[in-house]
Amino acid sequence: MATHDIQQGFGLRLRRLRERAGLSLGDLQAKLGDSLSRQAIHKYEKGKAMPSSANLIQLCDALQVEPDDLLAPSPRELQAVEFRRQAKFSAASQRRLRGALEIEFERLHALNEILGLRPKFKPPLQDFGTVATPADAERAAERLRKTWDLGHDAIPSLVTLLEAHGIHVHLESQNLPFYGASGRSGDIPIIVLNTHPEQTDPVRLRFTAAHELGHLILRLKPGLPARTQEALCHRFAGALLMPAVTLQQELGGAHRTKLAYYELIALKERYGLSLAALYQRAEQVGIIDKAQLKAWHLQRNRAGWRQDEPGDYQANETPTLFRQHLLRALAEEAVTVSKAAALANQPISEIRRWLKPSKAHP
Amino acid sequence: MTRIAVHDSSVLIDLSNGDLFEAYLLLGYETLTTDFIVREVSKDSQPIAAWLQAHATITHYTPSEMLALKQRQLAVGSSISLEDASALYLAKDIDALLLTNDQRLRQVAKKLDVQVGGILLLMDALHTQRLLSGQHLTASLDAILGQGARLPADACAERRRKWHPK
Repeated sequence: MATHDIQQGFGLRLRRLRERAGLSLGDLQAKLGDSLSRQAIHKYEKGKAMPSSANLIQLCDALQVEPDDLLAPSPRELQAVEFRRQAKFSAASQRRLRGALEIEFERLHALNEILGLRPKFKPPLQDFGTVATPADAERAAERLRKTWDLGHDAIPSLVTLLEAHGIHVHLESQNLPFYGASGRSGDIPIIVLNTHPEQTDPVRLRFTAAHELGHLILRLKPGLPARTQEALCHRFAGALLMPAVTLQQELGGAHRTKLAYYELIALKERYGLSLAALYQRAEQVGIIDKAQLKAWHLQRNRAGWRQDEPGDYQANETPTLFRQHLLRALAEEAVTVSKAAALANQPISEIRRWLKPSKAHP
Repeated sequence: MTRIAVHDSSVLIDLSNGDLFEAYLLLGYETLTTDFIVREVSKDSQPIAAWLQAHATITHYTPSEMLALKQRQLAVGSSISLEDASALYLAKDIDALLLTNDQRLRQVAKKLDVQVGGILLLMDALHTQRLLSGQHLTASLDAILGQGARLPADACAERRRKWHPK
């Protein structure tokens, strides 16, 4: 690569990282303790100058990235990332999160290139047609279970399933006002899930993951209002996590005149769906009627179960694929430990801990 | 003649884990490293970074040297980090010994005719020069391996037999 290209690439990345961090040139200069002038930073961003190693290190520390992040070739942008957000999720916060995701994706693409891995995502519902009604969403979930060979039982780890089908999952632990997001980077689809305890709990996390999967793979009829789109993805999520046939089997098949919450606790603990979502599903598949669903909502409100409902689901929703690929790269000596540390954004001791023989890391 | 050794992070971390910094100084190497390596090890251990500041000559890069370093990193592929590249090419440019335990980096170094050694080479020297007892060295090796160093098992077994025969 020509020096001009390196300098231009560095400038583009620096500018994008600064803007994603919500920093003006002056803000970045202040973060650097005024050791670099605004003009100097401006010249870097324009690709007209290269920093010394000392200045590059200062920039890395200020922007919390690695030298390889700032000097990597050709920046990539995230495409079409939609946040399922609350009103107070500011544009600046969204931009910052996008910036962090972009860095994560750069590292993911870099590792894939090193290992010669190609994106493996294949749209599973390409020939399904458009989804316009709740019945369509229900059928789409059934089709997906068939295409992905899931049968009708519980999905033990939805995140693992998504990763196995080529969808990158990012768990965001900052307390930001959104539930989930989906989009793509190049050919790789992405689902972002907020894991902060104030924003979610284990069953909600799974439901959000399934909901975002709906946004990624359903061909929603063009022109549907946003609320309808959300409702269809909700229906898809419920049907994916708890197929109609399974729920009918579990609850005795026919219409029930009474359905008690304590019957559903075992289902919650097995299928990883909230009691509220299970009641909703029971109404959707005709096991209870709307009046019974309303009665449940009243009971839930009275008991204060909106925030903390009975039943405990032991979730196993942790992305493992990137780390697995990194371990493979280390085993095959395709990367140095230092490179692995930079890609994982971890100190070298943490990579060594991964490699240490123990029960947790055989 | 003073031998010059360029350190990457792996050997520095092993010297620290094996509590061997003091003994290493007795080997008489002129110790060099780069500011990128100092930053990398400081994420793990401020004391190692402080030791480098006190005992090593630290190389910094001008803007044009930065461009050249990046080009050279790209020339060997994407398997090594900029930190690795900085230590590798510093050793090459001054014809010094590159101290690294990283197998991948050693392969790249050998292709570039850079002389390489690792923590076992240093421990062998400490043994040969009778600067540390075999028992001490064996304990250090245990501590180094216990912290996840990737050293060849057969070479370690051989050292154990040599340093501390039972």
